[in-house]
Amino acid sequence: MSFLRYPSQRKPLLTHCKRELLHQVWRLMLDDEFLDAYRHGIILQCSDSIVRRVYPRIFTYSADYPEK
Amino acid sequence: MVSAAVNLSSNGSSSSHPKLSHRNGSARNRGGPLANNDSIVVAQEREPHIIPESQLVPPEIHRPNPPMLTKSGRAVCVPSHFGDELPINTAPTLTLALAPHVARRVTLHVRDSFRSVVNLFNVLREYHHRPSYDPDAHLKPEDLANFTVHTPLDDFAPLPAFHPPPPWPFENMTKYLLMNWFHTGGNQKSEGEVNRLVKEVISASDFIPGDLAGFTVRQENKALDNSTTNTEGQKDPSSSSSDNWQELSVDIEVPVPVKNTPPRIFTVPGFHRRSIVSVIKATWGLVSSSSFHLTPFKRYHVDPSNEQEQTRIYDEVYTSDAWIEAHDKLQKDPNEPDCKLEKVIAGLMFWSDSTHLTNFGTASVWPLYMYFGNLSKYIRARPNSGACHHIAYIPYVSFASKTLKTCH
Repeated sequence: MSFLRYPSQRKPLLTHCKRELLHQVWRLMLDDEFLDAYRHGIILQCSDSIVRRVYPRIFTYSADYPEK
Repeated sequence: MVSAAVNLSSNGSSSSHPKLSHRNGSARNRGGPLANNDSIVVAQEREPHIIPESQLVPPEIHRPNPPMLTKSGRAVCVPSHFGDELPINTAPTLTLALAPHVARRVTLHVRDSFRSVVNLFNVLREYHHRPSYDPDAHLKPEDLANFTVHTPLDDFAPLPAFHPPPPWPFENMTKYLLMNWFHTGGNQKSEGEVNRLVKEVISASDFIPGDLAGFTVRQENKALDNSTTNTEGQKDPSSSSSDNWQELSVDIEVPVPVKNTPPRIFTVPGFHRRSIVSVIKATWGLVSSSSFHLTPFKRYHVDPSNEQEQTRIYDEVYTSDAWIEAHDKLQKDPNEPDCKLEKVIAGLMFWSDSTHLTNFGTASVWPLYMYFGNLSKYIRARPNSGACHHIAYIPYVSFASKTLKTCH
């Protein structure tokens, strides 16, 4: 059995694989450790030696279409 | 609850009245708790009772209507369904008394708004929350310009002042040497690391300076490398290196062109990643974090001719509405239990682009970068600022291995 019935399916299949890969990569990046920090913050000492609770927040994400 | 209160009060008040209590015991009373029925029965009774004056007037709610009399003077017996059930006022009071005392919860959000004065360019800042730390306070002209700033003060710079000899300004030569080392050479030495050096190394009981004869880092690193290869035979691929890099494999689903067949899962090896939280922790300890903005603000340009005319300036991530809203929401969210620490945001900015490493050949990587929006773009975007953190390298998928062409 072949994944590619026609040669023209080659490009869409590769696009699909890249898209799947990128989504899985982000699933691995935003792991439980990150989600815990996102919800409850991390206690860090800042440069003025005051301890603050730091909450990571994502503001921008710039990337080209990974399907290309 | 309310109906029980009704019964209780009507029974209670009727028994408090001696006349009524007497009738409660009589056979003619059909047992109805209604005061109205009782009053009619009273009218029919002609038995003389001596009642103290004070008890003649029944309680307000049970006061019977004056009995209707016929022309002959006989009392009219009204059918029981015409009896009017008197409203009773005690039920809500009783309910209120029984209801637990609930204090109304009022959450007060205090916004300590703060406006700075306009600067030379008629630009001011408006904070929703008063900042606890202003990184721009320590900015020098050199930090804002990409050329050497020649300030007029330099021309009149006084001659170097006379300093007392070395241990000054420290207590002894040990501290002097250590602080001298800290402030010279590379600027990657953080306060925490120097403190750790003193506590864990120099102050250790088994630290003997004499043992360091002929010491070089390279030589000792080589010894360390040899020892790991000798004991383990080969490097464990899953073990994270000093920078917490991990190598993982990624599972992706590929649909099969056959009906009712679940997608096949392929494993793409060679995904390198670093924990985002560990990068945040490491960066917060660096010297550059002194320029981190922790409180968002709005920047306005004030028209010098008309002070009412203010134009919003959008320039940094920490002056954006998104950050201000996120910061506001964070302050309103309940604190962690027993935590009084100030809550601030680490603004993450991700960037990813596939990069060709060489002009010849196909060597390329697909990295994922992370910047901190807390840092001004004028610092962040400098090529040598070190503000860019690579957090992942994404592997490539291709048909080269022919894995996707045929399904075994």
